[in-house]
Amino acid sequence: MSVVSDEDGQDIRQSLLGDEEAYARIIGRYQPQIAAQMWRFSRDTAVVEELVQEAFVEAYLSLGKFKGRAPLLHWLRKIATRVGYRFWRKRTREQERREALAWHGEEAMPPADTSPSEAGEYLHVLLAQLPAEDRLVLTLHYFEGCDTREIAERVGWTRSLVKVRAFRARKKLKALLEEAGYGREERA
Amino acid sequence: MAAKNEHDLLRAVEDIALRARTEPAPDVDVSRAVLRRLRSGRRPADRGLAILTAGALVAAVVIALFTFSDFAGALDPLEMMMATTASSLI
Repeated sequence: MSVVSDEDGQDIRQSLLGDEEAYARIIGRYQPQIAAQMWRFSRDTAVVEELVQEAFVEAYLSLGKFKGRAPLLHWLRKIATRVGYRFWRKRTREQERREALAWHGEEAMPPADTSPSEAGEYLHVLLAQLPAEDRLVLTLHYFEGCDTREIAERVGWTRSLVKVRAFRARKKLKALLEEAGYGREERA
Repeated sequence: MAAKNEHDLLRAVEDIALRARTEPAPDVDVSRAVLRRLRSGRRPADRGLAILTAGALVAAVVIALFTFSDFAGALDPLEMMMATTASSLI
């Protein structure tokens, strides 16, 4: 039994036959979810738009390989994760330096009643201090609520590799927070 | 105490993440841009495929010509028929 919805199945078939409108319908249905995912990879709306475009272009070029074993959105999320990860890996040293400066400018963790946007911004800048693979694991875990199985599925790593990377990433994150002075009794 | 601090630190990050998850993402509409990129990007791929197909056809014809001009005399009728069928399939 297929897990792909009828309308997705129909639009995929039509898209493969070259029907642009069918593919536009697929984009329209899933771009909010993919944009939300890409928002975790960049806080710049123009970059997010570019990444969402890239994900849908890649998805179209691989559409013939979509087997329909999982819902279309799962498959799109995997592609989007790959696109976002590649974006991080391509970032220039200058961009990394700017984000590092932003992080060192932070004074304290956001208070309990902080807005979701402020919390998102804080976490984004915090995780940006980690290497791309550590950042990816923690971003998927913290922002998307993925467990190790889901992360492995999305990224294409083995589950044990995800566990190892998550463990190391948490350790690095903790070291980073301590370096910034969090968690020390006297600082509170 | 260190273990407690570690736990507290990561727990604090988890709490922030829970709040961040509800953050709305920016609205984007990329369908036109994607279709435009696909239209402009598809042509080179099609051209590449056409060149490959033409190359394969030329190679098949050349191979068939060599095969039949050099060795046709040595083939019996059944082999000849099989070779013809195989070359037409290529």
